[in-house]
Amino acid sequence: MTMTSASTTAPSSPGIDALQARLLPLIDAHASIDRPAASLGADDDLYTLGMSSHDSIQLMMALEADFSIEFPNALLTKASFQSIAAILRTLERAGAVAA
Amino acid sequence: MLTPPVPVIRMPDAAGALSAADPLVGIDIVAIRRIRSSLERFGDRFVDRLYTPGEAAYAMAAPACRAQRLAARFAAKEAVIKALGFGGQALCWRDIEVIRHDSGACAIALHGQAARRARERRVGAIAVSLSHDDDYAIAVVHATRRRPRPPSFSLLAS
Repeated sequence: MTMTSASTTAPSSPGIDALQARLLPLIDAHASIDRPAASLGADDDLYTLGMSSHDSIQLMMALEADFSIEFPNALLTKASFQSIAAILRTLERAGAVAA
Repeated sequence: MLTPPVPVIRMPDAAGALSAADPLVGIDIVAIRRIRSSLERFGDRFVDRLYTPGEAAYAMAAPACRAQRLAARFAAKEAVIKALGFGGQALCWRDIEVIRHDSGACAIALHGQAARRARERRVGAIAVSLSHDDDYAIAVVHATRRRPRPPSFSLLAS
C-alpha cells in the first residue's frame, strides 16, 4: 500500500481542510488503527487497517457529537466511513461545517 | 495434491422433497468492555441510536448485566447483517431487533428497510442464538433463502 499524506490526496479547499483537521484526531481516538491518521492516504481503507464495525459506530457517534449533526440512515453504510475521503464526503452530505 | 471437490449432498425433508431453500449463516463476537466504553462515552445516545426501546428496556432491567445484554444484541445485529448480506447497504440498526420470549428464547424481528430487503431476497425464517461470559458476547444467526420456482413446462415450451 502506498502511504501518502491525507492532505496531499484529499480534495482540498479551505472548508475541506478545516473539516479534515477536526476529523483526524477523531479517527486517532476511535478507529483503532495502529498508525496516526495524519500519515494515511485519503483513500486508505480504514477497515483493512483494523477498524471494526463497533469502532466505526464509535467514530460515527463522535463525529455527530463533535459537529453537532445527526447522520441520516441513508448515510449509515460501511462505505460512508471507509476512508478519510469518504468520511469527508459523508460529513459534507450531512451538512457538517468546520467552524 | 489436488483433491476432488466434496459433493454437496442435499438432504430430503420429512416429506421426501429436496429442500427449496438455501441456508444463510452469520456470526459475530463483541468484547463487552468495548460496549461498556461506548456507554460511558456516549451514554443514552449510544443506546437510542442502536437499540429498540424493547431491547433497551430488557438491558436496563438488570443494570449489572446491561453491557453484556447490549453486547449480545449488537453481536446479533451484526450476525444478521452478515447472514443476510446487508453489509454494504444503508440501514438503521434499530430495524434489526432481538425479541426475547418469556421462555428465554430469542428471535429476530426485522422492521423498515431491513424487512423490505429481506422480503426482496426471499429470506424466510431467521433463528438466533446468543451467549456471553464476563468478557465476550457472541451471536449466531441462521436463516433460509427460498429458491425461485423453476419455470413450468408450459413456459419452457412457449
